[in-house]
Amino acid sequence: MGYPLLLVFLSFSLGVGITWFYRFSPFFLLVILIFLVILSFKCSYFLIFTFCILGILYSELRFPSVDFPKAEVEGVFEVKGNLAHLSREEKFFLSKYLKDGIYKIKGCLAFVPSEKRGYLWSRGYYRMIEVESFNLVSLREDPFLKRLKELYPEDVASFIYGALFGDKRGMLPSIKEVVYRSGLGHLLAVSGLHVGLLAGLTLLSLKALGIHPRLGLILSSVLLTAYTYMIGFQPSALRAYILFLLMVLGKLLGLRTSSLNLVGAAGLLLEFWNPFVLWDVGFELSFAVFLSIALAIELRLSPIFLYIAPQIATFPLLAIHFNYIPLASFLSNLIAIPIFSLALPFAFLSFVPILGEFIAPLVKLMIEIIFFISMLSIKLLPSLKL
Amino acid sequence: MFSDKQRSGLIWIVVFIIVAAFGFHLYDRLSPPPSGVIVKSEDEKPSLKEIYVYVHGAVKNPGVYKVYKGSRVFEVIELAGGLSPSADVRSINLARVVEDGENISVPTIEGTKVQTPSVGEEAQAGRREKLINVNKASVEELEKLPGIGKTIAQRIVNYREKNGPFKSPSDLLKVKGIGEKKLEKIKGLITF
Repeated sequence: MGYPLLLVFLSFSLGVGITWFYRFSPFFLLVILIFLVILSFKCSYFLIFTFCILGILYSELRFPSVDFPKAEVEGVFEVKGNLAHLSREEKFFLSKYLKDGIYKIKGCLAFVPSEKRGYLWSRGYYRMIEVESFNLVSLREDPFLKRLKELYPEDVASFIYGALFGDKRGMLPSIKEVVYRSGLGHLLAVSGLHVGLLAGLTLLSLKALGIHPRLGLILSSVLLTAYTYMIGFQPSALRAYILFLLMVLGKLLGLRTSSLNLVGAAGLLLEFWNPFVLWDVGFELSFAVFLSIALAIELRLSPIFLYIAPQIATFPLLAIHFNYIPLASFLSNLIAIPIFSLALPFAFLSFVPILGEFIAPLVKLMIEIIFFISMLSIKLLPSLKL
Repeated sequence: MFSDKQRSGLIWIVVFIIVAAFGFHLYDRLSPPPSGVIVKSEDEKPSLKEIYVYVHGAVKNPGVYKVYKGSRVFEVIELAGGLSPSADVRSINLARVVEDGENISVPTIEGTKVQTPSVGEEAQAGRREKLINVNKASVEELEKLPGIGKTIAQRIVNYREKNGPFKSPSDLLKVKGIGEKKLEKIKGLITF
């Protein structure tokens, strides 16, 4: 069998998905699991079921305890919108939206609302603070956003900030709506496209400098690690980053495997890190894209399918979760992706003093073309509403 | 379906994930609550201490009842089945906070009427008026007792706030500054 890790990933995901609907007793699962492991020594088919049950057991055991005591909370938190942090481990969701800064918050501990469970659990937020009172200690504006706002008009600045750091909170709702409806929403989350672009750029420039390819791979993964760390290991970036790391590892160790297996391995690693990532819409979209591209490569389809397949793969998910199918994405991506690929490295340069001011008009022009394309493509191909 | 090599590799992954899952589970359950936050659990609040009171008189079901500290007389009467029709609500303060071991007697209308005080009883009632309840009196009232100054009065108040009401005269000996002699002097003037 050519794709063991892909199969195992899919059945593990099935198990994790089942926990969304039903909860089982872990000891019952453990007994079945031991039974299945013994069976799979006889016949390896049973490994598929083993991993499915393992997925249920794993998410069951990682399930945050719902019955923590109802308690009062008081403390000084670093707040970003609805999210409050004490440290990397201690994260809380806030019932109030606050401006970024340091706050002293008093409130009551509660469980996160179930309709936001997928988004919050996949990011490690299990507890909510029902804010009763808060005092502002100090506001904190991101220096990068400040710099962007100096260089560009509001809408362009917030688009670039979203594209570079995956933080879309500052965007005007009207522009956000247009960008999403035209199927360009992926530009606003640090995802495979960004990671691929950055990796490709650094690899090419290191090659041009005459650095050994192996060293180049290591250096570019170090750079990407720094970047994903800087944007706070956002799930969307983490997915592409782990996939890239696995590819680098495979190249360095000289392992030859199908890209479908790589996707499976990346998915397994992410679900091992936090099984609830599966409940996040972004994870589903990402893996639909990854799998469709890997499949197109595996089947040696013509390059045009590499462009069409990921879009078709995301349609069912968009239809289920957001009730629309962005037909405009065929058109908008065709023009927007090349322009965006060009704009992204330049956008990074805007943080360089003096040079930033020089290239600002160019970047602004490119971003405005992207806005124009998305509006035009919606006009030409309105999205299917379900 | 899987080759032998793949199968043994995958089984190792299964074992690893099971061990890790139980490890994570234990770690989550055993890790202490957030360190930088003051978390006050509701069941630690002192107001939920249970106390016992005795209700009798004009209530439907007289007896000993368990209530939470801070409960009031009307709540205790509610527990005892409510007031009987003959109860005299004017001569009892329904809003008073009850104390542990208290004896609540709900008077009846007939009872109050019949007990028209005779001269002797009136005199006794007058004397009773003068008796100072050490469990309720303020510092100023306690100061009126012979041999009790402001400091000791304050100590009495502090003691009953800390340890609960006094139940017998000998409890007063535990207050610093009150010895056998002083207790002898005030014994007749106080009530509990």
